Amino acid sequence: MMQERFKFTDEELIARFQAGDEGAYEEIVGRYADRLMNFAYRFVLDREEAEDIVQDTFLKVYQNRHAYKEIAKFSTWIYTITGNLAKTVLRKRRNRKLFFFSRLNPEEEKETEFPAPERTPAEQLEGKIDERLIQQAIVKLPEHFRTVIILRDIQDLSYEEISNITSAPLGTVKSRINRARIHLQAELEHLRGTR
Amino acid sequence: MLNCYQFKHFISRYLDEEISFKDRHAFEEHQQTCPICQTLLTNIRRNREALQNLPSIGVSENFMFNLRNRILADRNARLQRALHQGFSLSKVPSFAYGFAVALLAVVVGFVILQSQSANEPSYLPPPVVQQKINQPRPSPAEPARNLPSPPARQYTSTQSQTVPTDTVSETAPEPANHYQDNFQDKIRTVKDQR
Repeated sequence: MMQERFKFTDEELIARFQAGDEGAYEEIVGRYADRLMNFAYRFVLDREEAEDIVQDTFLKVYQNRHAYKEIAKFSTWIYTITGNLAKTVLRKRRNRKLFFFSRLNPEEEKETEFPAPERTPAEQLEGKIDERLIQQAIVKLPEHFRTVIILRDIQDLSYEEISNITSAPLGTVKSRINRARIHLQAELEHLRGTR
Repeated sequence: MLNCYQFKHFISRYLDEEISFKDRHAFEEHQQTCPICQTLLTNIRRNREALQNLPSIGVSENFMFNLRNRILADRNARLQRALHQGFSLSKVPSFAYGFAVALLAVVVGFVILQSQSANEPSYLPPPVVQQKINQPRPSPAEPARNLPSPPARQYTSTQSQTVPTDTVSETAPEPANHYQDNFQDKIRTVKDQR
């Protein structure tokens, strides 16, 4: 639906880039930078880290342009790269945290919890969900649930595309999305209860 | 009719409209009778809408500038590495080692075969020729075969060419003597046959 606006499809652009057209690369960057930034930011919840992830993604696309074969959609390929980089960042962060916590007392550990955001009375009345609250709930989800819920509900990708990006069978993706939504609801209830 | 567990299983398919007509009917039937599941469905639907309405986060203004710099820096670093490292064994692909070993084996095999053939006597004629040589010569008692008689003119001419030894120049052609020897042999053979 998005590609209808463009003169060339993503696959045509990457083919031109593989043939040496640097302008095609810049157009790819223009098309995907914001989408990938949104995906990476929702994943790691840090603007600088997210931008680094997106830059790394485009650098990898530049370096490994010939690795792409037109057997899969270009969007699937680039989302897979971003997802893998985001997971690496999370893993590094977790390792850092483990190292850091091992030097702390249990009392100090509690101080690193997210501060609970205030909810206005109007929001409470409307039942509107605070953006920060939902973002916190997403971050608390296990990695495989987080990936599918961002790709499905924020990036609006199809089940088939998510299946290709995550390298999981279609049935697994469907059930994973369902469980991720139920899990997210439980997290939100938990976060509201702690306020 | 579905139970609560089955209802939970179908929530996402129902919201994404990926449910069959039969399952949808059962799903809606349960929804009307179970207030807990109804609340869960409402909440999940609201969460989904909230996720879809989250503000989009874009890249910073100098994103493209930074990216170009990184690409240039990466390219330069690769060039520098290639220039400084030069040749190293780690760069040689693994199949090249296999190829080199195979080539070495062929060369060694060739040299061994050559040395073996050098030890064998090389003056022996091939077996077919040897067989011909070993064939018994026909005895004089046997009836004379229809051997072609040598051309008379040539024979006489050869006989008449008796050149005194003192007149033979030192540069006389060798084939003339050879020609005479051949005919001498033939004459002997014809006489034996008679």
